[in-house]
Amino acid sequence: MIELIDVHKELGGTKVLDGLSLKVDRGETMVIIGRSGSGKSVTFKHITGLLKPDSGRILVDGVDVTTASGNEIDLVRRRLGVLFQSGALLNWMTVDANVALPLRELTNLPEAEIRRIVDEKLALVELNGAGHLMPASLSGGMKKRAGLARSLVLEPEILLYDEPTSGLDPIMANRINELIIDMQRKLNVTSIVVTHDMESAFMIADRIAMLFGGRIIEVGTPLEIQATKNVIVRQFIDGKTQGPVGEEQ
Amino acid sequence: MDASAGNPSAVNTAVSNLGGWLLGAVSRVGYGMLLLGRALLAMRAVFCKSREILRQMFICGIASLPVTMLVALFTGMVLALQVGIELMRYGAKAEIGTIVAASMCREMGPIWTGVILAARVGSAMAAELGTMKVSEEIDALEVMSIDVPRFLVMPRLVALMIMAPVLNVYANIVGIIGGALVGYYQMSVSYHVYFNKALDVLTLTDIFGGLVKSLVFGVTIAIVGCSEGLRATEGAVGVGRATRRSVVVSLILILVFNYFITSFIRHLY
Ligand SMILES: Nc1ncnc2c1ncn2[C@@H]1O[C@H](COP(=O)(O)OP(=O)(O)OP(=O)(O)O)[C@@H](O)[C@H]1O
Ligand SMILES: [Mg+2]
Repeated sequence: MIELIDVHKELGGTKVLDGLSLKVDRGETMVIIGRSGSGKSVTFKHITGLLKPDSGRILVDGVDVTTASGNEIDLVRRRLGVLFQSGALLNWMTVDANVALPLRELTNLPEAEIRRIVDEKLALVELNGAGHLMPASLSGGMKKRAGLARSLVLEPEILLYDEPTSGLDPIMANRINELIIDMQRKLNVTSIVVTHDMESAFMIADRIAMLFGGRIIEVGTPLEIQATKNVIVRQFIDGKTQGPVGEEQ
Repeated sequence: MDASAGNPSAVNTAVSNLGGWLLGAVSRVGYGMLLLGRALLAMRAVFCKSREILRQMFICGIASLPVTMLVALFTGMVLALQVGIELMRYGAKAEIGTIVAASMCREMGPIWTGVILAARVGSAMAAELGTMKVSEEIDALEVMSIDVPRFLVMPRLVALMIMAPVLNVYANIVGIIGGALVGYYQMSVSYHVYFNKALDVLTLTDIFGGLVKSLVFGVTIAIVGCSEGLRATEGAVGVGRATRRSVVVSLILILVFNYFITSFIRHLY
């Protein structure tokens, strides 16, 4: 279970998170939606302990990552599979080596076993055959898929995906959606997924949370969100340019 | 900054600028020392990382060899030329070997090796790690709970700790040979006399002292380069700033450390 309690964070003079609270249950897929620049990636960095909040608490299975020691955070991180918005592959290693990296650095598995796992995960994201390429020669979507494969090699219990389907073609996007749903059904992983893609949000989410003005302004099941009375959420999911969100800027 | 904006007097601004600079310098030194400590601790895993260390040794050492040789050659030659002219006036041109060998091994060899490594290797480390930092790769490593000092810094540190003294030895030898060439062709000092004088003057302290210097410079360059890179912010501009700063800081530290090591070695005589 992941819980953010009244998190405040100021970055570069602006208040990015302003009393954000959110609770994600075990085995649940929570989709966070919100406009570009609303602080979704910043929220992710708080959950992974990369950023410390100015105030507030962040609990991952009862461990407060804002105050935990280095070792405690490492224990939490071992159970996370994180996809960064940019993919964040190491650019001096082949795709193979990138995907194998957590296995090589954190386990003592024999090379043959590592090979097998890497091939399996690359196949999941349809990148078999691209293993020998360097990240610089991949397309944006391929980088994202390689990052996805890397996030899966240690069989994480919690997935944090920052825009997993942006930059992918519709078929590939759906494959990733199915992958996320599969992981939840079969392995009961907890997922937090950031996306702009409302179609994918409605498809994979157990609940959807809307981030606006530094806090979560509405949480609900896809049906509840579709039927929302909140004008801001309404405007966002309909993609209207006229409305309270536009005027506020 | 807000405080001085409310009271815009020049003195106030100067003081707050100085304060900011001092704070920055202190946090920089602190970060560097911490990184050094963690990288040294990570040396327990030196054998697991031997491939990466070899790769780094190649990048920083072998690839810097030609430049270092060229610079050392001309340093030895110009030393011989300058002192040779003076020595000839006193009829002591045979001492060229003494002076070139002593200045190469004690000062010129270590310093030039340091300068070349700072410019070629330290800056590249800052740029590489800086790019990784601003493109979220370092974040990704941290989230995978991969120890960045062990994974990235230690191999670079070890590589420079080995290659800086090695390059230094080559530089010394090539510099002394350069001096011999000038001595022979311009001042007709025979190779025999030159090298005898050169070997005579060199004590174990000289050789050992030069190696200690280049070892210290290697550590300095690696840690400055890596920590500037890891502290980079704000995209490509930040990477550029980190790169530039790594060279300037390394060069200053090399000259400062050089003075103190020399003065320490003097005490040993
Ligand atoms: N390191 C930083 N320093 C200063 N400001 C930052 C920093 N990181 C993020 N911000 C600011 O925080 C705000 C939220 O950024 P964030 O990356 O979380 O947006 P996002 O919701 O993920 O947007 P997108 O959907 O475009 O990825 C932005 O206004 C950004 O300028
Ligand atoms: Mg983002």
